[in-house]
Amino acid sequence: MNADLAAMAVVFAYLSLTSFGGGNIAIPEIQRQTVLVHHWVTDRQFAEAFALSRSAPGPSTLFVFLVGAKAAGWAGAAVASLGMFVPSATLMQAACAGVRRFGNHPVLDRLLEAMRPITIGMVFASAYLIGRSSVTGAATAGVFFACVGVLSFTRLPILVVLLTAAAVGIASA
Amino acid sequence: MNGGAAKDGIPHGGPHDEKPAAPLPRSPAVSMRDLAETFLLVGATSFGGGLTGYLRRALVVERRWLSEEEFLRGLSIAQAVPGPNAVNLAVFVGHRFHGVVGSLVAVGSVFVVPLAALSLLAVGWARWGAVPSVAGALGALAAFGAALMASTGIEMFRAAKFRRTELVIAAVSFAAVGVLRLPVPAALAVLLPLSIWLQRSGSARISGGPR
Repeated sequence: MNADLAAMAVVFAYLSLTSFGGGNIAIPEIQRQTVLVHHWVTDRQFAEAFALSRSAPGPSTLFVFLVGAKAAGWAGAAVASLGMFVPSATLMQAACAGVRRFGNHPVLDRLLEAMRPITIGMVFASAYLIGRSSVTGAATAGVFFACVGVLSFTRLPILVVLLTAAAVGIASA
Repeated sequence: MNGGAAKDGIPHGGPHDEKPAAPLPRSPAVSMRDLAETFLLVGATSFGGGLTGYLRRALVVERRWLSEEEFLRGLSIAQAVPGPNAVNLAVFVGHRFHGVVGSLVAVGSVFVVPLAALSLLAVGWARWGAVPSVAGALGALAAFGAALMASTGIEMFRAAKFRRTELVIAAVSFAAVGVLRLPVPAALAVLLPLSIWLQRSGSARISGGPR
């Protein structure tokens, strides 16, 4: 168990420091490490952790709290969350201090511009990875497509959509 | 872990000479308590991701702590540094007003309510996750989660107005990471230089920084 926690700390710190482009880009790699490489959670549990976390406010990457909790209880939740946020926030501290001296750089704008298509590709990769393990039949497929439509083309609050989806799930259970 | 802090070759410990035009013209004095209250509130009300948008509204529109320009500068730094953008942005804002301690207060406050909510969810998930009706709800929720991600992608895509080369980059990025399951850092190592190169060669309308 302890070896597992240590490994989790290392893996989440790695995930923290490699999540260039923000939380969305981090999801496929978080999934790869926790499901594929280390088997801390199953595909399905990962999708559930992500989905459940959507009913809580806050940074979306915080769903690693639930992944850690499923893998190793409270200690796992703490290790995953700290590992995910402390290293990158520390780097950001350093960057803030640096920017006071150097100001903004045009190179930064071009870098972000170049990142954008990559980020969007990875957002769809995340959707695909979560969808693959969660769309298991006609009912869930219906929920998926209905939600995509409603979320993309209406301004209905996300929480309303989430609760409706859960109600449909209960009804069709 | 913190060896990376020296990444930008930032000399540490010394006083920051030439602090940039100290406070903004009409920027109000932001106390530590203001920071804590504001970030606590944003953390508690930011449902459905998109925390960055909530922060912009709270800090730029409602409280006018930051100008639009300063917010965008903070955002681009937040995006360039690894880690979730919203958390990095909280570090930036806290740091802007009260240095390292301010950034700890901002980040700590934004996490309080979400962590409490997630703790309750973790308990419920462990206790009732196997109950058939709850399992049904979880299955549908997972499908909803995938849909939320897909609609985020659709929204970003609609806003981006890509050229053809950028479409190809996006498609390759999807295939490499989603289908082939390549490690993201490896995919980035190939795709980012490629994307920068294509950006230059197809330059026509790149809105770079000020020339």
